[in-house]
Amino acid sequence: MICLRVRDILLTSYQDGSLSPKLQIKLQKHIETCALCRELERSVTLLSQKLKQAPAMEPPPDTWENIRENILAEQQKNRAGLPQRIRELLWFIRQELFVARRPLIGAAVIMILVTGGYRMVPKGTSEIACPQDTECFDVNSADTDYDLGTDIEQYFF
Amino acid sequence: MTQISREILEKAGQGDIPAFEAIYRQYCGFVYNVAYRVTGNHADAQEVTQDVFMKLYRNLKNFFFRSSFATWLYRITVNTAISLCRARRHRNAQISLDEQLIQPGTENNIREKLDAGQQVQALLEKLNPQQRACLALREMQGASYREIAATLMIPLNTVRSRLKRARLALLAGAPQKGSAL
Repeated sequence: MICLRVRDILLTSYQDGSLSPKLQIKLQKHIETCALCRELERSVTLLSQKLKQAPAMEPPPDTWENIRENILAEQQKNRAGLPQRIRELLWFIRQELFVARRPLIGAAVIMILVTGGYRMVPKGTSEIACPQDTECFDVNSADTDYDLGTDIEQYFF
Repeated sequence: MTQISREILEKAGQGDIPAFEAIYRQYCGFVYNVAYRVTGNHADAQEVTQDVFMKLYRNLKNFFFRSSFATWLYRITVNTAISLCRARRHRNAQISLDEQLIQPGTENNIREKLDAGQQVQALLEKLNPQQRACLALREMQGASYREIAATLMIPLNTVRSRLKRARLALLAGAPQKGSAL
């Protein structure tokens, strides 16, 4: 077994305890004969022990209180925010309807004007009927004297 | 680490505070320790812990039990801690005690004054946050390579190589900071 391979194992799988028994024996044999690898094995083991022995810490007591307060504040905000969201939704619908209403009103006015004009003409007649309270202009009874007393009429007639 | 029951998780997901407190009591130690090992100080570790549990509270209703809850929590913890380290790295240019430890002349003198926990933290400061996270999960929390790979969402060989580089850096005493950031 070469030193390079042993170093790799010592820095990775050796610390895991996941080596096969066969490889473990080979590794031990090499370590017994190689001073450099033996030194590395000792150092790695010491380092691992040191890291494992590091005392476990507890979070400060106010950590949970802070989290709890944040959760309560968030819950309250969500509850208070619901009517506000509904109001915003209604306002949005209102705005949308207002925007959509203008072209609708325009189209309705045009439709009324167009269809209203046709309705003023009675069915079955091709002429426009005279209103009852006014006299219709009679072309035949009109005065044929065109002299209105102006120079231009004298020139033409 | 014992797994928390599905019933408690579902209750907490619906906004039940006592159920959420049970989750906190179960996992706060892990979250705080990993955060401390990655960030390097108690104030940041507390900030990360609070941040992790708030993220958990907001997203628990979207947890559909397709993966392990613990792995999910570990991932949130490590990612939050690494993000904070990145933010701090841009903000801080201070010379910390741990950086002084790296200097050969002062190393031994200062180490003598530190307790075991601080010594370990001083060692970890020589690594980048990803390596610290791997080493903290492996050595201090006893996570297997597979668990670390699942937590950090990296291949198994990357876990292996990060741990190898981290151990080498610690043994050599050479700073390896910032290489992966």
